[in-house]
Amino acid sequence: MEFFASEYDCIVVGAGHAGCEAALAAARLGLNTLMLTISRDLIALMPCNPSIGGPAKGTIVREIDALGGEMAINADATALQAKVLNTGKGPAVYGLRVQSDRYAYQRRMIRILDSQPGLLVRQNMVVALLLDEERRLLGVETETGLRYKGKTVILCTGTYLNSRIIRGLSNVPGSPVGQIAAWGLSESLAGHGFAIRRFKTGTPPRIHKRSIDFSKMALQPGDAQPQHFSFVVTEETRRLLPDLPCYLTYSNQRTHEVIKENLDQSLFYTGELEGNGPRYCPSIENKVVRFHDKDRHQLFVEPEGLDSQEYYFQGFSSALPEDVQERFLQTVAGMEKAEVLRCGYAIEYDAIDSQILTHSLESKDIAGLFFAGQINGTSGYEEAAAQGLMAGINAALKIQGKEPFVLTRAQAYIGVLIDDLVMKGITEPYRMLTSAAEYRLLLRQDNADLRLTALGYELGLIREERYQALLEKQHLIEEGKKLLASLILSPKDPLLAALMEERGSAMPLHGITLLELLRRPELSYEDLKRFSGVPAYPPEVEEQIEIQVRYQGYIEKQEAQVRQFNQLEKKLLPRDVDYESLKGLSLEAREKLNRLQPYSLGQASRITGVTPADINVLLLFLEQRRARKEGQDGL
Amino acid sequence: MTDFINDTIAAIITAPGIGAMGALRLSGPAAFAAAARVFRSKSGRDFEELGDYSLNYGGIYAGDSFLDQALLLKMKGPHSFTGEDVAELQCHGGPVVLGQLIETLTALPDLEIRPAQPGEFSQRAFLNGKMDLSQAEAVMELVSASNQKAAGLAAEQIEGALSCRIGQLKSRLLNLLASIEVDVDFPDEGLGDAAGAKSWIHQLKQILSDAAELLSAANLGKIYREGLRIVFYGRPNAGKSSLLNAVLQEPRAIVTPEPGTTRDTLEERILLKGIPLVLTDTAGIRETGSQAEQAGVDRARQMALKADLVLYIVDMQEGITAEDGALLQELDKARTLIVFNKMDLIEEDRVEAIPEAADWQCCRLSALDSQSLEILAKHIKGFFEGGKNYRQNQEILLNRRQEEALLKAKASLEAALAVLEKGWPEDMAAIDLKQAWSALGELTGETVQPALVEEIFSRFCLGK
Repeated sequence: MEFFASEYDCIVVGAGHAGCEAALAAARLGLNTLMLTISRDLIALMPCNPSIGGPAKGTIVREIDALGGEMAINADATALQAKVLNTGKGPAVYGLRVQSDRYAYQRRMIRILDSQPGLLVRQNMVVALLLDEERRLLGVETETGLRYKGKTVILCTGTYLNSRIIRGLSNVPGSPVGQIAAWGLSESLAGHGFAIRRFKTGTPPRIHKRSIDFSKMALQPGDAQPQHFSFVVTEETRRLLPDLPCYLTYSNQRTHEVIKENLDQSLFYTGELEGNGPRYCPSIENKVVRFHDKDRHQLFVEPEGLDSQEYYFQGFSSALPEDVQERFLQTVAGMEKAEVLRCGYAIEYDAIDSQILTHSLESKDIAGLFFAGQINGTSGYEEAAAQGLMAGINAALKIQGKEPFVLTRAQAYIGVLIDDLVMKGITEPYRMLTSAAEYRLLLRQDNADLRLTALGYELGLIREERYQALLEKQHLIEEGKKLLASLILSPKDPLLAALMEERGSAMPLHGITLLELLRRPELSYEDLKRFSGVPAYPPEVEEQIEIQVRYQGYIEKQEAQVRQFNQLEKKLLPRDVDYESLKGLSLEAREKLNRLQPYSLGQASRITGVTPADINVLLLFLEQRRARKEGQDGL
Repeated sequence: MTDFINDTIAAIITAPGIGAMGALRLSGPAAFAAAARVFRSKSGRDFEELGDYSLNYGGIYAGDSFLDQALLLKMKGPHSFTGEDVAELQCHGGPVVLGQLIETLTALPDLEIRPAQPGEFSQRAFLNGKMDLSQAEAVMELVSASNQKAAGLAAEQIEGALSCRIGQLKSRLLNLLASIEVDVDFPDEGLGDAAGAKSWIHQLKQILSDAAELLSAANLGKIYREGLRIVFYGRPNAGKSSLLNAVLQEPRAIVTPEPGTTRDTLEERILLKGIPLVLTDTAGIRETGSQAEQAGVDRARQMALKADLVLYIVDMQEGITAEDGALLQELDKARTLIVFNKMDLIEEDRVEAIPEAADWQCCRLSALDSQSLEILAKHIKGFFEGGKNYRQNQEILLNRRQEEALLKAKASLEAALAVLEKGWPEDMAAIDLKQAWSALGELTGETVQPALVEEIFSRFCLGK
């Protein structure tokens, strides 16, 4: 047997947002955990925008919190500004977004990791995955030749695998932090039979604060009453940093002209590089080309940190040469004298095909090997962190000999995300959108704790005290709703008349319960407190009562849809089917079903290329098979 | 284990009973082998030599005993109805010969031919990708079509005409949904529709009016399938039964000068100028002490409410009475034709004095006159084609399930419109719109409904 430096229950490769959650979850669940990173200075780095959350992404952050992850608390504790987007569009699509001090964010996460018992965060680059002759997992090997034995390994390599930085016509090895890229591991994975694909993303320039004329831009302040991601607000997360505003400006015709004139200086437009970039986060040159009828694009200027002079220029991601970037940048109002501190660039990196994974993010053919984050083809810190958390949890359950922890599409955005990755498969960096969640009104950011915290408690990631608080909250919500249903107001009640007058609401003709009254969008729980018998609850309880009562009809519609969804989820596909023999299936469906071996008809229905007609064929096939089996049994 | 279809099925595909011709179909991998055992070509050629897609004359045999002369239709999979090898045998014989043939085939020891289940040929066609669900349903409609027009509509739907029209509706709905989703998911990009809710409301109204048009097209289709329900209605002894007999051109209803002769409703079907009609004669409406008659009167009222068209018959000897006025009050003007009957019994000069209510549709005739059928036929056709949404050749055929799905879609679209008009959060409208989308998918089979697939094929008759 070859020499191993030491043995761990779990080895996490990479210390980005996926790696941090994976390592913390594994260690918190009792695994002896080693985290290996190229550089300890890169832990929890935000190499792109210094913000966390937004629609769908913000909900993911709350789900991570509800399950006992770290991202929400870390963002809250380092927030420079917090803002809820999409208010008025419906509670399911509210998106809290926090601008964090990226340096503070890193510092705090490093502190949390280093103080976590059972976790060692060590600087060393992993260059190989080690398997035995029978392709069983052994561990990893580092650049320095050290070999670590791991019962489980979680690969969270982010955008670093064989990464190259593309700027103008230059295409060189590198990563967000300069010349560092991870070499070796990709080749090792390919050698073990993993298909490697190339994904691309990009980032905008960073500008020196002193060179920006903010007076020409629109001020974008945070919310006056900032919300938190975490359901638990502590001394640490209660707004310690001063509120730093963002600013809004626009590109213009001149900007677009300069870009168009210089497209021949981009490797992506000369045809030399293709790169599967995220359609949802296009470079400014792609925007100008694709939306050529738009005469301007929104651009946001965001602070990177309290002590930093760098401002992030959201919406302005570019892979054009440095001098061209500077030229079109200076056509933007307020940026005429902009001094660039870091230039924008595109980055290309290796990723695996996420369809080789199970729903627990484990490789289908190498037990104990997990993948999380951008290596699976996602984009975004939040998507990465969610996968890291789930991989960490599942690595622990694997070692404990327990069933994997899988969330369904009807339970959480995390469930939607992972199901999309492993069943649907992706061809470009995957960003979580609310439109990907079929039942988003049930998967709200406000009820992530009600949906998931009991599960986190069962797993052992939520402490007793927090679980008891959840039970109390649930109790108060039910009590409050019952109470409102029992309180009836007479149309003659002068208090009622006054309230209706105040809110411009129609006077009820008959007696009305307070519950019915709360269904009116113009009224809030706060308004009801003037009536006797209506108690004041903690704000989060009042918020829940309000949402649950007001949207009850639509919540019930979605619950009915979930029941329908479950019908197909419960139809299990037999393991021994050769789909090639089902000629009614499309060629593509036959190939994909054989390859992916979905567990249920529901899963099969979400595979790209498997059409409803294919599902109908499968349904009838199952029915025939059942009937035949019954016939045989009857004989 | 064997996963799937690998056996061969056989069934008589002509209606049971004595007919001019009988046919039997074999489908599956052993179809040709089985057919070869019972069919001998007149030309003396071996079965394998017969063309893959050929019609062949010869005889059928049970062992060595000749059963009948027959035509063999040979169709090689996958280009056949079921997508498998198919052999069809057509012979003169009725149930006896075909029964013998089936027995012979299923008794072949090495080939394991088994009798087909109802709908099994279509099931195989479906499983082999030869048709989609709406096409399968249309096959069923075609088989049971009672008139040419309905058969034509079903045939069009086998070709996918319905899916095409639903598809147009769905693509407009998708555009609207996408616009809302972009607004929700990309608040920073400024990509959303600048006009927002106002533009959404406008688009939604368009989609709703398309859906309504589709529904009325479906109503027309329904008439072709089920017949236009016409109820003969009015006071006792107005001549309802006489008129019915005149239309039917046979004395179907008992006619006496005695008022109240018709106690119960009487239903008859005919085809009039290409329009299938379901004619219902009813008891005359009057206050009565007889329980039996009262039951008939109640039923008549019910029928009048459900009718596509009410023929309100007035005895012109008496003219429009106060009772007639009261009864007419209960009816829908748009679906009522007042028939002034017994015009032959009144004096010429009184004819001019008939008080015709300006906005009611009326016609004058005498049930006993040979002209009356022509006059009535003209009015009924006029009513049918003059319908608000009638457009020639725009009919579609929906079964009950499909019609329910379309109604469900329309209700969801209306709910979404209400949300947007009230200024409620757009996400709620999105939920309604997605429900509408899914309901439209139910129509074409794009929304998968587990219970449905099995059910559709279970309704097929044997041999399809």
